[in-house]
Amino acid sequence: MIRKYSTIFSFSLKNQMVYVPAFMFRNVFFILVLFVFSNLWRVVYGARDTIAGLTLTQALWYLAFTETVELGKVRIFDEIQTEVKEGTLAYTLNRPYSYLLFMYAKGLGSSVPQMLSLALIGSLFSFVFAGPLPYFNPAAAAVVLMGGVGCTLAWMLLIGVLSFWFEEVTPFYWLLQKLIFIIGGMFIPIDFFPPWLESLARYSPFAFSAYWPAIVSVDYSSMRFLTAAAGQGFYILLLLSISALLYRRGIRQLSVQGG
Amino acid sequence: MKLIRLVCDYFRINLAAAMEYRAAFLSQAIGMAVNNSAFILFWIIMYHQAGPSIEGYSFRDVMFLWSLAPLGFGISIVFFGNSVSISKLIYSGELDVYMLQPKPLVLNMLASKMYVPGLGDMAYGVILFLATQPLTLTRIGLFVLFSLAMAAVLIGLRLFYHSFTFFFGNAEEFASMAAESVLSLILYPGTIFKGPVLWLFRTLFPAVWIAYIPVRLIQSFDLALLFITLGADILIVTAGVMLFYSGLKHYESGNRIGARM
Amino acid sequence: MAHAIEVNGLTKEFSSKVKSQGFTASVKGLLAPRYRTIRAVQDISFCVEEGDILAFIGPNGAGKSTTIKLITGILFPTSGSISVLGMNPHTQRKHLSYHIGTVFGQKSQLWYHLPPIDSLTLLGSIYDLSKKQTKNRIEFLAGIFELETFLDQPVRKLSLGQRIRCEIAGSLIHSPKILFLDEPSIGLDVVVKQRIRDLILKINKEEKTTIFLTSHDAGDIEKICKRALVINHGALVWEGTIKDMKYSLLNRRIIDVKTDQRLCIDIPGVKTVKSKEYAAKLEVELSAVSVEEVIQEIMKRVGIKDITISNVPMEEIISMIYQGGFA
Repeated sequence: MIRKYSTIFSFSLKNQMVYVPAFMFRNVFFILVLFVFSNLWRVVYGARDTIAGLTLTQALWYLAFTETVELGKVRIFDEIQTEVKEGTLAYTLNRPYSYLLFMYAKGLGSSVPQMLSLALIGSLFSFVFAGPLPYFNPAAAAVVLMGGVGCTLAWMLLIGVLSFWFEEVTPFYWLLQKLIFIIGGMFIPIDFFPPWLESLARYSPFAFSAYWPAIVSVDYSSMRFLTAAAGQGFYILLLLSISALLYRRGIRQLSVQGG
Repeated sequence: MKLIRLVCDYFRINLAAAMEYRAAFLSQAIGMAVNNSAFILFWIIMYHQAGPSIEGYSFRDVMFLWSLAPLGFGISIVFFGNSVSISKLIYSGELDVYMLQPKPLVLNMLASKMYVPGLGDMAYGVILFLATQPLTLTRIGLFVLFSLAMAAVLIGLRLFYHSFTFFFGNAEEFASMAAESVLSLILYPGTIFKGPVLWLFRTLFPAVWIAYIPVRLIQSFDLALLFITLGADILIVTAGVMLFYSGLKHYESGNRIGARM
Repeated sequence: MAHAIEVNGLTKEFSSKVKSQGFTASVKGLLAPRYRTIRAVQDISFCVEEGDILAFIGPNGAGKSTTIKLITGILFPTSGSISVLGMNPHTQRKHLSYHIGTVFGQKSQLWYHLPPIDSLTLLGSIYDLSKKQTKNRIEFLAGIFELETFLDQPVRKLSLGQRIRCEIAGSLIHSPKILFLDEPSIGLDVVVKQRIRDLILKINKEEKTTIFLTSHDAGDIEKICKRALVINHGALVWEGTIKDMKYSLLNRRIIDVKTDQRLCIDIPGVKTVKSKEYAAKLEVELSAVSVEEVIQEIMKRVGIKDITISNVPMEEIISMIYQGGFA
C-alpha cells in the first residue's frame, strides 16, 4: 500500500522535474529584477529615510510581493482560447460543472505552488539586498496575495471568453499586463505617484492585483487589510459575472454556428 | 553587397508573408508599441520622486536608452529573426536547409525569419528618439550607430548562448534567459550599478558596451572610448560566431537516435 | 563515366545521454550525465556514377538519412572520406551546394503563406542566378512539372502532391548535377506517386541529373531506379542493380497453380505458402531444386489446369531485407 503511493509520489515528482529548468530561469529573472531595483531604490532614496511613508526595505519587499503574484499566475486564457478555437469546448458543455469556474479553480490551484516558491525566493533575496521587514502579518499577507492572483485570474478568464469574438486575444493580455504594471503599481507603490495619477489608480481594479496585496504585506494595518480584501472580493465577483454573461452569449453563438 | 541583397530579399519575402495576415501584423506591431509606452509613465513617476537626476542620468538620458533599446532589439528580430530560435533550429535539425544553400550559414540562417512585432519596436524607438532628444547631427549619427551595434551584439550573444545546445543538448531556456537578462539590464541607468558586478555586465551580460557607455558618449563625446566600445562589440560578436561554428561539428541534424531513452 | 559520389570507409558516431531509471538516478544524471556512443553509420563504401538513378534502401533508423546528410555536408563524419563531384562536402560545402539539390520529405524550402513563385524567386537569388535566369528557369520547371495553374497560390492552399512538385522544382532551380531525394513520396496517393516518378525520370533524362533516392516505397525503387544500395544497422548489406536484386540474388520463384484435385507436395526446397482445394501457391528455392523439376513433380501427382511462375514481389524482397533474411 505504502509502496504504491510512494511510487506515485516519486513518479509525479520526477514528472515535475521536467519543468525544473523553466522554473529556475523564471526565478533567476525574478532575482535579477530585485537586484536591479535594490540598486535603483538606493539611488532614488539617496539620503531620505522614507518616501511616502515607506522605507527602502519596504519598497524592495513590496516589489517582491507584486512579482510573486505576477510571475506566479498561470495564463489560463491561453487554454480557453485554444479550446474555443479548436471547438473542443463543445465536449465540456455536457459535463456537470461550470466550465468557467472549473478553469478558474484550476488556475488558482496551479498558481499557488508557484507563488509559494516565488515568495520564498523573493523573501530571501529581499532580505539579502535590503534587510528584514520590520513587521509582517503572514495570515493577512496570504489572504490578500491569494486575492491578488484571484483578481488577475478573473481578468484572464474574461480575456479567454473574448476569444469567442476575436481571432487572437493575447493583445488584451498585454494591455492588462501593462495596466497592472503602471496603474496597478507593480514596480512603484501607488503612494509614490503624482497626485493626479494616484487618485486614478488607488481604487482601480488593477491596483487590487498588485498594489493592495503588496502594501498589506509590507506595511500592515487592519484598515488596509479590510480595504484590500473587500476590493478584491468585489472585483472578482464583478469580473466573474461579466465573464459568465459573455460566456453564455458566446456559447449560444457557437451552437447557432454549429461549433 | 551580395549579403546585403540576401538580407533584403529575406526582408521582402517575410514582409509579404506577414502581410497575408494584415490584421495580426498590425495588432502585434501596435501592441508592442503600447507595451513599451507604458514604461514611459514608469519613469515619469520615478523622476517625480527622484528629482532631476538619477545618479547622473536625466530623464532625457533614460529616454535615450528607451529609444535605443527598442530600435536595436527591433532590428535584431526583424532582420535576423531566427536569432531567438537558434536552439530550436539546432535540436530539431532545421539547420539542414541553410547548410545546403551556398550562402554564409550564420547570416542565411539568421536572416531567413522575421518577427513582425519588431517593426513596432523599431518604429517606437525612432519616434521616442525624435520626440525626446535634441536632433543634432552627432546625436542622430551616434543613435544609428549604437542601435546597429546593439543589434549586432544581441545577435552575437544569442549565437553564443544558443550554441550551448550543440554541446549540452537543448539549452533553449537557459539561452533565452541569458539574452533576456541583458535586455532588462539595458533599460536602467547604468550608473546605479557599482562594484564587481560591473565585470559581469562587461562580459557575460554586456550591458555596459551596448547601453551604458553609449549614454556616456552622448552626454560627452570621447573618440577613444567610442573605439574601445566598438572593439568590445566586435569581440562579443566574434565570440558568438566562433562558438557557433565550433559547435556545428557536433550538429546531429535531428537524427538524435536514442535520445529518448 | 566519372564518379558523381565516392564514399570510402564512412563512419558516423553519435553520443547520446543515457537517461537513468528512478528518481535518485535522474538527479545524478542531471549532475553527471553518462553518455553512450551509437554508431549510426559504420564503414560504408560505395560509388555512384554520373547520370545514375540510385535507390538507397533500409528500414527506419538504418542510417539512410544520416548517410545523405554526411554526403551533403550537413554532418561531420567521424571517420572515412567522401567525395562528391570531386569535392569534399565539409571543407567545400558552400562550393558544392551550387551543384547539388535536396528534397527532404519533411523539411520544406517553401514559404508556407506565400505562393511558390515567391519562394522560387528567392531561391534563385540565394543561388546567385540573375533575375532573368531565375525567371527562365522557373518557366522551364513550371512547364515540366505543370505548376502553371497554382504557381501564384499560397502554399498552404496547395495539395500535398502540388506542394511536393513545387518542392522538387525548388531544389532544381540552380540546375544541380545531383539531386538527393529523401522519402519524396511519403504520404502521397498512388496517382501522385506515379507522377512524381515520371518527373524524376524526366529530369534524369533531360538534364542528366544524377538521382540519389531514399524510399520505403517498393514501387519507387522498382520503377525508376537502376541500382540499389541496401543499408541496415548502419552497414551496407547489399549493392547491385535492381534487376540483380530481383532475379538472381533472390533465388526464389513463386508458382501459382490450379489443379484438378488437391495438391500435396513434399520435396526439399519447396514451401507451400497457400493451399486450397484446387489451387496452391508454392515458393521454390532455386538453389535446392529447379522450377522444371517442381513442375514435373506436380504433373506426376495431379493434372494442371493453369500455372503462373513469378518472381517474389518487390515489397516482399524489401521486407525480407529489413528482417535480415538476405545475406
